Amino acid sequence: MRQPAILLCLALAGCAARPFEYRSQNEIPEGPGFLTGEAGAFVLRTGDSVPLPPRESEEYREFREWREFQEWKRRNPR
Amino acid sequence: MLLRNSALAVAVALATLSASAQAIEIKLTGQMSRGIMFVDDGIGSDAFHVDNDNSSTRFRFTGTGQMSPGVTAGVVFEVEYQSAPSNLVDRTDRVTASPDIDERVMDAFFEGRYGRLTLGQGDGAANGGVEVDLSGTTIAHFSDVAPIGGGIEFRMPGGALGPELGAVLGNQDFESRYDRVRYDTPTFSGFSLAVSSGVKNETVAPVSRDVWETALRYAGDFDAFGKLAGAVGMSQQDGDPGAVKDKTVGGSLSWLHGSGANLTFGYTTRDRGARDSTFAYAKAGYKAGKHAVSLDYTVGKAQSAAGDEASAIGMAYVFTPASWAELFALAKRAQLNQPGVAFEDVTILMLGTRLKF
Repeated sequence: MRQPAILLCLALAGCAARPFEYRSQNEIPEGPGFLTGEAGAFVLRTGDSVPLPPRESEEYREFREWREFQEWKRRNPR
Repeated sequence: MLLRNSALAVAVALATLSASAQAIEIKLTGQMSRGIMFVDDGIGSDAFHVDNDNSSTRFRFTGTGQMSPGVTAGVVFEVEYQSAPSNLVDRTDRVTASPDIDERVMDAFFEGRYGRLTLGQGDGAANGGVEVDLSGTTIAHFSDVAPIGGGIEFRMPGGALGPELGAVLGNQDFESRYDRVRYDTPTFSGFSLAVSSGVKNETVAPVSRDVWETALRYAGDFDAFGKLAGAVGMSQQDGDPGAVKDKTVGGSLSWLHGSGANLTFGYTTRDRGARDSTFAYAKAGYKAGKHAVSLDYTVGKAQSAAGDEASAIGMAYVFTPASWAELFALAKRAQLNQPGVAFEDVTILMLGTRLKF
């Protein structure tokens, strides 16, 4: 009778805490890698995971200018 | 010309990014885990250049995609490639001449509001349940002594070989990885439950054995009191012909106070038919910023034969200069007592690193 009561108290006490995700430190660590940088992995995304802004937007215009600059830099190396 | 090329680049980018209505993300990552291990078995000593089996050299592909509203499908493909694994080398065979790519995880999973269903090769439901550890030093040492020096034999005073360290001082962490189906519930206030059933290979016929496992896990942050994580589990595997089923029960608990002080405990008992073998573990540590230190003590009873008792004491320091780099130093000493037989103590020192790429 005493053991179930103790377990119940422990469970109730446990519910009072904020959950966090425990990860074994013996798995590949989360976070940045020395080759992969901040992403921590070589990442390939397809589909709508990286949506582009609308064509009429200021953000899209900046994106287009950035791509043009990259192209100009590639064609005009120092 | 410039404008035409730019427009083309944007068009290609747009075409690529809108090729599929579903978002799919594929990641490739991995780590290199190497060390120098010095061993003195009481008769002689050697140095070994090893792959740290606490967390081996490996790489992994993962991919996830939205299968339907609220349901994510994914794959995990993880393999390890170890040259001279630290758990297998011994004083006779100090290197492995031709390392192999070994499977670790080959999983397909579906995840949604009702939890996660996993099919493939990977962790059983209770695997890791004896290894919950918040100390920050698990790259150097944790509840399982065997990954570093597990293949080193105890020696009798005359030099005769005795059992390997790993055979007398394992943590009996359930059934590890195998081909199975596994279900994990969502987390409720830090608690989650997992069950798995599958098939595992052994060296004694019948080679393929049915296995099932279950585990209850917990992870909660109590703010000023610190973080608490733990697990309890049980597993059952078909036994040798004519023998009882191999059953293991146990768990672990780890507490990390906000000050950096931490405590970890583990215990398992395994029913081997003719005898019950046990494992007990305690660890105390402290971590602050990039530094973590810990001291641990392990006892294994009746793991290789009735009446044997092995123990090990270890001390480690881990320095993490960058989030992707760890450097560590480990010292441990193990002893084995068997009725009527004397063995020399085994001393192991190791310096190592793990670099995530």
